[in-house]
Amino acid sequence: MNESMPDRPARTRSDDLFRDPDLTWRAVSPRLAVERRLPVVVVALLGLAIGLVGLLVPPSPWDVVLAAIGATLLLSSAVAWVMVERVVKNWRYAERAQDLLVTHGRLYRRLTVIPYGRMQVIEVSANPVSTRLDIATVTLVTASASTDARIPGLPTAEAHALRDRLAAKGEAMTAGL
Amino acid sequence: MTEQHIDKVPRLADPHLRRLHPLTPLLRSWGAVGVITAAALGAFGDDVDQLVWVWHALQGDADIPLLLRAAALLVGVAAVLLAAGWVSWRMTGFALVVDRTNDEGRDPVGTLLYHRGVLVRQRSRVRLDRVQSVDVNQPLVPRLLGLALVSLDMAAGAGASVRLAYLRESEAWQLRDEILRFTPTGRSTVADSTRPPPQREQQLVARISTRRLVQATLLEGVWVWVLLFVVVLAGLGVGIGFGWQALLGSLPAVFGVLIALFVVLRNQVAVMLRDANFTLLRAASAIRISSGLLSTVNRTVELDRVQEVRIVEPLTWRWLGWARVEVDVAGARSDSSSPAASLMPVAESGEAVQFVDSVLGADLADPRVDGPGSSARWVDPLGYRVLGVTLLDLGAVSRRGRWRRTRSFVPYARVQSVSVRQGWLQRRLGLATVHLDMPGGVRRWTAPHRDASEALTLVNELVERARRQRATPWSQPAKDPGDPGAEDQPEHEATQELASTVQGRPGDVVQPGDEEHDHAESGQTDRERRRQAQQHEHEDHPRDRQAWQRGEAQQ
Repeated sequence: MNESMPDRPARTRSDDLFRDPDLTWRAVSPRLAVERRLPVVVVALLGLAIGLVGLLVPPSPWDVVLAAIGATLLLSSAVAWVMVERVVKNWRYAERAQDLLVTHGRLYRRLTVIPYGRMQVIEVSANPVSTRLDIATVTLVTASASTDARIPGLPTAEAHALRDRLAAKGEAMTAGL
Repeated sequence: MTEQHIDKVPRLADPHLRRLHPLTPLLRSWGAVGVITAAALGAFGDDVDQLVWVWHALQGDADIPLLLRAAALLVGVAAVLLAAGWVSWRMTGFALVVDRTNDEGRDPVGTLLYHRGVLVRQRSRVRLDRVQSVDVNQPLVPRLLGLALVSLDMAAGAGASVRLAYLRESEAWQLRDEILRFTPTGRSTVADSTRPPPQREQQLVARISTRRLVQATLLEGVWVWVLLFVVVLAGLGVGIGFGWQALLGSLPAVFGVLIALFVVLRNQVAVMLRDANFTLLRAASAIRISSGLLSTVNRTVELDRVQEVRIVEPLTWRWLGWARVEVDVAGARSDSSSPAASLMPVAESGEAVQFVDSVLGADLADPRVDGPGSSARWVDPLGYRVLGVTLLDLGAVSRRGRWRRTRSFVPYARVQSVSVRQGWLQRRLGLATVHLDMPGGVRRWTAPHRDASEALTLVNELVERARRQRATPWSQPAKDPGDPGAEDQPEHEATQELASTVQGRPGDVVQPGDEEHDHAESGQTDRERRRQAQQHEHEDHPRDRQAWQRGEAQQ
């Protein structure tokens, strides 16, 4: 009854696990970074404001606290600014004959393989900001609540094309069951 | 199924509604007792001393008007509640009817009508061919009165179930058999009505002795007793060493521990009450479980809907070679509040393995395990030896747990998606964790700390096997008796004619339309979408059944 695992291939680089070099991976639009950085900018401005207030108020124990809060906010938004770049760069997807691969994450890497036949809802969504940037998010829903498959920041036309493509493939595979 | 039998069941047009048992309103209003008490306390209002005083009064020192007032109030409230209960009982009725309007050569579709409600009238029509399981349950008090309730689970999940409470016990069983004739699983077992009803066709698989259960439960929670012992010992130590005043001072610290202990003990008792008198029957495509010391619960586990089986061996049980079999079933009854349903609360390890093998065709005995990556010891120094994965013909097995050893089996046919994850530390060590997403819940099958270079192979292998298990045209005749024509229909059509349309509960009504692809930018909530997605999943289970049958055939 048992079957042994297939032979191990020669050791590959860890990157290859999440980005199989044999496949054509498509990146998401760099405009996603703009969308993601908007809240970062807001936080940074808030930090700046708090810090300024801390500097302007007459000397008291409060100005230290306010300056500290402002500095923390500024620093963390600076970190977030850099992180956004890496996250967006690493969000990729690839279409294979039978399934769709989505990978993202830099520190915590994830790769999800969703068979076309298992996709039940394919949704394209956009919030006001992303509408203005002409990008959209494609979300794939399977019967499992734990499936984590989302591709944000696709140019709207590409998102719709992808949805139609996936839907067609899904239909073909499901019917063939 | 012969015409004769069908003709005895009334048509949809003129349903003759049957009533529930007349004691129903009384039994249902246990909550009302609480209301009465509260009302009484409220009436006596400001000082509860008066209640004490009533007690004195009853012993001869009576203040008659006050007593009368109390009695009148109680009687009044009781009368109102009884009247309300009676009206509600009069307005509740159910009927089993056959809808023959569109049976072009198909088996007729049975429908259960269930009307209820006084102010808000609800009329449900439950299509019996969509019913997943029919159980007869007996809570404590109805059980004492010889009553039972029939509960129907639909494919749609935890929210969609109908409970007919209460009926006389014999009547309940009879109704269950009647309903089973129209359900997909029941039909295959009682294809012609000359054969006895399914209930008698079952084969006793196991009966677990209450003594063993009690031993096992206590043993599993033995650390609680150890902890209690330590606490008492520490208390004595403090008392003797620093004087009893110090002990009093440290009481608050002990208090938390005691509460935790109490919770655990309560759970132990609950498990013992729930799993006592555990009897396991094997029917054609389902396992029927009857258990409970005070309340008798009958559960049906449809084998084709099983999406995960676990053999769990807590540390203390391993010394004795005991194990428990737990099961996750798609859809109904998967609320997180209750502990995982056990298919066998305790058994010899070998027996458990054999049982899983015989019902699901998965041999978990001593799977040739493929271990984790060599550097897994740095991430999981205690448990890394236990970690391992085996790919069987029908599903994947993952072994984990240093103390509480768990072997988890999931059938490939139900895998929704496969994923790999790698944290920062894992990346440094060249490891990655592989997951399988199963329908419905958030619980996922996990193979921790695989060698990163091999993980992709494992992922691809799992994807490939899942695809093959879904797509293989089975050697058995493809037509499922319970779901005529299911093979010909594209899946989204199946959804449209889904199960129960429960009126008055909009959340349960399936919205027609092509769920597959047209939800882009529609205003549905996430929950609705998931729900539909899950319903969708249940629709394709006839194929999965084939998978299981194939597995059984190999035995």
